[in-house]
Amino acid sequence: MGGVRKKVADIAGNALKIEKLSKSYGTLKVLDEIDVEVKKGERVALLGPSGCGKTTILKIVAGLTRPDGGNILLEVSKIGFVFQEDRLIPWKTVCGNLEFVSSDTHKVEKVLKLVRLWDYRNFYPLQLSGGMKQRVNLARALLVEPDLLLLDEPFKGLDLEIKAELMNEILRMCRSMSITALLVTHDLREALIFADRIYVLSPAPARVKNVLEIDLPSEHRDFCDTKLLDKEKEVLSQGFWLPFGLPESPLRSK
Amino acid sequence: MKDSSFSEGSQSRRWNWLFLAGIGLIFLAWWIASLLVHVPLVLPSPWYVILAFLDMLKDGSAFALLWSTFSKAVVGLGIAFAFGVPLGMVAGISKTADELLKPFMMVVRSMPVVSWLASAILLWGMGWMTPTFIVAVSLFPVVSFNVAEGVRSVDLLLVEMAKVYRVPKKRIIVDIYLGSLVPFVLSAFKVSIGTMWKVAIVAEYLAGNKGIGVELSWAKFYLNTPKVFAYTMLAVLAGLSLEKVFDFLWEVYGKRWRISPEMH
Ligand SMILES: Nc1ncnc2c1ncn2[C@@H]1O[C@H](COP(=O)(O)OP(=O)(O)O)[C@@H](O)[C@H]1O
Ligand SMILES: [Mg+2]
Repeated sequence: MGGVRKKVADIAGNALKIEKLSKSYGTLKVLDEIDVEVKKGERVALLGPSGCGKTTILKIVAGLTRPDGGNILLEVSKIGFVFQEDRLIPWKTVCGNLEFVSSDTHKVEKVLKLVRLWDYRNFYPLQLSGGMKQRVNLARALLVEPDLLLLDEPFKGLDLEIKAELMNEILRMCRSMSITALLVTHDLREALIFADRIYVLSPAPARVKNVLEIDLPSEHRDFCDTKLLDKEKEVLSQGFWLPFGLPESPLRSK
Repeated sequence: MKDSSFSEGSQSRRWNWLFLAGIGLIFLAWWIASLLVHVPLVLPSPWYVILAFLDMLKDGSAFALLWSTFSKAVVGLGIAFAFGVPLGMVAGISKTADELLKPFMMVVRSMPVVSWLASAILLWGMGWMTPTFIVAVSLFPVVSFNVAEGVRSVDLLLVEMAKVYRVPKKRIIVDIYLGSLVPFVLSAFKVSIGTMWKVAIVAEYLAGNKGIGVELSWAKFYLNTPKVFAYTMLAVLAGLSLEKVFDFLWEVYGKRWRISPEMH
């Protein structure tokens, strides 16, 4: 066997196409024939419970892990990866961490101002809060001017307020630079706010259980928006749901 | 963003006072003990020792001695690092190399100084080479062990991050691998500068032709106990000051390598 990851000139308007992707770690099967398409300029979310293999998918897309079977077709070359852990170098400042990735100091300045961390450029990671570290993580991914932005649960462990702020920031960047983005999360609401399309994954081995097209106008993509909450309710009531709980959802008690 | 460095100043001043008081306590105890023992040949009064010490400072012999011992210790330290760092890196990177080198390292570590001395004297005689060599073989295992630990502690998630962003290999090695080695190398350094004096002086005592150890052995030979104590005091003071200098530099430049306990 052995899967294939390759760059191709044209995949019919797609930036990324994942076909029948399979992967096992030893005897543990984590991915089972996953199919995902991400069109250029589109924001897509993979929604699945913890441990179902979401990080593994992103690592395979980024070329960090080899697939056992299936195809990864990429029309893009520059990938930005917002890691689940912040992965900042502890002995380098915010600025130093970014310059580790790109020596273009103008770009570093621009991107730090974009995530509003310019005043903190000389801080070390251990002097920053969790939300700030995630913004450096995001800034580093934007620094390479990615054609494809991979986001691995970037909101994990953040307070709702910080989460909402970071979400707005990410959406703003994606829209203004028309970045193609693939978000991985276990949180339905995050996925609804972020994505144009959601792939719902089953627990491991992950399989695509459902694909939801989300056509919400951008002004409703917010954590407390009523239209969004209606959409959430609608999704939940479709009944195909959901092998896992919904943290922080007021609807859960109903 | 809690930063405790604001209170650190007054705190460290307080420790300095306690440190001085502690030194005073040593002298007090020593003085009382010497009065009780009442055999100056065994335990001279601190006053005689201080006089002998001041004599040494006055005629300048102390500095020549210090330099002689110090230079041997430092060259030995340099040799220990020159061999210990690469070997530690190899052992840290490759499990096979680690297993292969382990018996050798264990022998080097547990071999008594005197056994090294026997062969070293035959090779080089009583000169500066023998003590230098002894310092090097004594420190070498500490250095290589620490470096190996450091290499093993490299955060592979950071290496993976660097690969995603196609950071050149050279940069990965310099900024991630060497960066995470720094605290381990420095801690090896700190342990080493603490031990190198003691080892150098023992080696000089047994096989040197110059230095504090040699003078110690002569003073002992002539039963000049105050002088023995004065040389000891010189060695201790020199060792302590060197460690203090190192601590100060670490305090100033090492901050970013200290991981805060809040982080984990
Ligand atoms: N390198 C690996 N070796 C072995 N098992 C792994 C490895 N990486 C992940 N796993 C396992 O694969 C499963 C899916 O992991 P992951 O992709 O991180 O899931 P998610 O990101 O959805 O939480 C988990 O059970 C995890 O323990
Ligand atoms: Mg994960």
